[in-house]
Amino acid sequence: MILKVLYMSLILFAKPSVDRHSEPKFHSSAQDSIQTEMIVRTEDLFWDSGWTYFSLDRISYKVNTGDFGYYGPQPDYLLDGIPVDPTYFGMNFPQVLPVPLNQITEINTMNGMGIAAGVPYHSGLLKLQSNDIKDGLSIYSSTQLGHNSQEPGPWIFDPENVSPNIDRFGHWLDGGFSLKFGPWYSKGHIQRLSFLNSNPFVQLRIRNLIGFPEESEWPDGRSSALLGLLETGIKTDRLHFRVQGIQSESEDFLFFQPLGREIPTDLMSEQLSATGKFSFTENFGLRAMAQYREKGTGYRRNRFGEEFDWEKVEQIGRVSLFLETNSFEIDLGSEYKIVELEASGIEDDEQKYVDLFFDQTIQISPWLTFGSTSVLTFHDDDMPLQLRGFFNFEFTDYWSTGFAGSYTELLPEIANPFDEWVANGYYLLDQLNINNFVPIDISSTELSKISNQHQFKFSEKIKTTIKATYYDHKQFNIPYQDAYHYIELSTLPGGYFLFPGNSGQRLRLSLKSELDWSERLYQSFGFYRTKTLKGTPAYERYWKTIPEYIIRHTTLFHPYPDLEMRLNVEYQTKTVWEEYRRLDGELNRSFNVQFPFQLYRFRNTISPGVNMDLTFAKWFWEQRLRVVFMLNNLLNRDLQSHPIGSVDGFGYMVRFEVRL
Amino acid sequence: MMVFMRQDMRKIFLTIIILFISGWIHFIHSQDAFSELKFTLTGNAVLGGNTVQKSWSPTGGFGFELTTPYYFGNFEIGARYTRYNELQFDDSGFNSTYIFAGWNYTHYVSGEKDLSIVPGIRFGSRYMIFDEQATYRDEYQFSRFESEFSYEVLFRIQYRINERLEFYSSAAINQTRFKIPYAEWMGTAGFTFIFNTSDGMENFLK
Repeated sequence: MILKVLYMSLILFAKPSVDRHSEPKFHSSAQDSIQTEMIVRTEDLFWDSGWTYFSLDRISYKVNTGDFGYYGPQPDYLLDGIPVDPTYFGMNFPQVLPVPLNQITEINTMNGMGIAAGVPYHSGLLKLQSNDIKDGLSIYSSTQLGHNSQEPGPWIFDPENVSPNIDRFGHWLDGGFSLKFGPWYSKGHIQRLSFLNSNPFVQLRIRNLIGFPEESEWPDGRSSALLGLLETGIKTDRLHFRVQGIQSESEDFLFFQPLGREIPTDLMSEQLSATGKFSFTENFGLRAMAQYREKGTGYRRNRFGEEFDWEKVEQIGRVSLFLETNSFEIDLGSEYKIVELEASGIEDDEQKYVDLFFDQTIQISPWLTFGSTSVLTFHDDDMPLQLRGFFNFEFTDYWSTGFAGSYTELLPEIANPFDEWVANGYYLLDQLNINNFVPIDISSTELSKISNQHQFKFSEKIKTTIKATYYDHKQFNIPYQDAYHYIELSTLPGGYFLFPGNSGQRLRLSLKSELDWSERLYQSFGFYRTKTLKGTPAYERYWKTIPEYIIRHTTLFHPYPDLEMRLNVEYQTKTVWEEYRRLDGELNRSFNVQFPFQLYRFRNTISPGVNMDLTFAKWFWEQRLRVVFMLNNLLNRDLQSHPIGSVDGFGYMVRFEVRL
Repeated sequence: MMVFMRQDMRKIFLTIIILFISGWIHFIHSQDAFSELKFTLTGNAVLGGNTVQKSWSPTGGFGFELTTPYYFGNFEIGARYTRYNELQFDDSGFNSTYIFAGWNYTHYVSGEKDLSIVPGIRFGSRYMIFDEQATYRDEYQFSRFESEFSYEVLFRIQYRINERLEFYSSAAINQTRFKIPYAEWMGTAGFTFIFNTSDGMENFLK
């Protein structure tokens, strides 16, 4: 391992043309910056990232950041500089982020691995910034609801307020306060969320899971969540010290790929954080953070007694020294993490991880910037290494180019955590009667990437970034499970496999143009092309779930100070889900007592789709009140992102906000 | 029929988007936003429609609208009540109220600015209360209450009688997003009373 470290260090420092990083810090990349003030749905968080995502219920998502696909590590989340983790079993639940969506004012997405605010991330980062705290007392509240259209029509059958093909988001209700006097501040939020997905075919599955025919009980399958945040801190020019606590509880349906459908589940999380940034001089300082995070799943009553019975406790300490000047930035630090896991078949499992990291960016001259990031992890006898480096030339004021390279080695605890738990004795698959074939000893995942980026600044208003990235997956573990057709529950699981030893190469081309016409009008056009060049059969099959072409367009228009408008348009090409090939062509039907009764034919190929969303926001009372109104899927096309996910037509969302 | 509905809907929304985009070109023609508040009382009648009118016969209705000028065009909110008597399905008559918010643009066609044509769009919800609960297969109860997203594109001819009074007549094509095709042409006529807004009200609306 020492030899490996030395070897990789040699590559890093001796061959900068290949292995130096990806996204220059001093030249904002098109993929690294978006700002929006109209986040209405959870998927809006991912919109401008160039990432792909799928959802069964349009609330929780699996995200592919480009590196490891949908079943690989999900992106990390950094909210106001503090890491949060709204994922359960690889599924993202952005609705349980501890700040309401309307309070998020800025989103930055980072690709690949790196360090942000002294925190290492492995496969993309969603960096969220909430509203600044104002002097004195501020309070706010908002409520939101939405609807996916097409009720049956006059005279619906509606015994429990569940009608076929209605998806009701809401009512969501949140409130909060902030207090600031001099350097001291405190703030708090509380949110209550509710969601009912009653797409008839999703309803069939969900209601048959939680219904008890012998008791004549057919609950409507509503999901709900209650969450809160409390934070207090001191912020001066030299010191920013914070203590934060967050908690969430929700009743949900967690999509679990190995089962090929959802498991009714209660999700719980608690996180306590204490963090400090101390500046010894104007440029030099120390960051320190201690975190205690507890996540677990509880039993939500269902006919089959299915439950995850899983709880994870993490204790994390981070400390780093930073040096920031106009021409260079350095971050040198360490993360110490203890992870305790308790689950069916696993008792008192404790894993310790130590990360050492070094992140630096240097502007050698006005036209040359160079940077690198290194993360070395110590875990038992393993020492996986992550490296990246870049250099960026600014040939003229109108053209710059950059070369980047990275090598990532991820422990199975990061890349394939569920399989690692199964290998260590977690017998969830056995409880679900799923035959499983998971190796006892799972290898680390290895990925090398190189990229070349060109940024053209045609004028002060028009900027275009073109980037080509070559991915070489040297060692890739790919999970696979066939889903079989079963009309009552839509699916039954086949055997679950983890195929180790896969490898392959992929290419990703992206083009993004930003047109900043004026303070009132902004447009962006993104074009993303991904292609599998070659690989093992499982590798080639795995990446078919990612659309080869994606086009995304955004127009933001602020004609007057009190009015904002946004038009989003997206086109995606088809995706093929081999795991659902046995469902292809089979019939699915709506819930048996719902009217009108509907039939639907499964497809394991998701057709190309165009989506168009239009959002308006109107301020009142000198920006104290706001009404946000979103029309989804204006063309009313049937949109679906997963073979057993809901098929969405036209819908709307409306939100009322008060800020005093 | 659903195919036609979808195509109609796409056309209407594409029209809205074109209006939205073409509006950008004109936004520099600002006017004194929120300087007036117009209160309109209307009478309405359904002029035509699709499948819905095979089963229900609409009667005349009434409504009100509140309109205020914006920097470009006008904002409005309002409600419109219509009664639908059953033609088939016993006791299936219902009362419908359409609550909406919208935007329209006043284009003057006379030099004295007393005659104008006004195209506009409205978004809202149609709330329906049925006379009786119905039963499906002698077993399952239907709800008496129903609501769904509804939008319409309207065209109005408006005449300003004096500084405080207007008369208008309009036609609108309305679609309510039920799964069954639900579209109707609505004719409306009404008198508008015009008030100057107070400074406090103007600040609130801004």
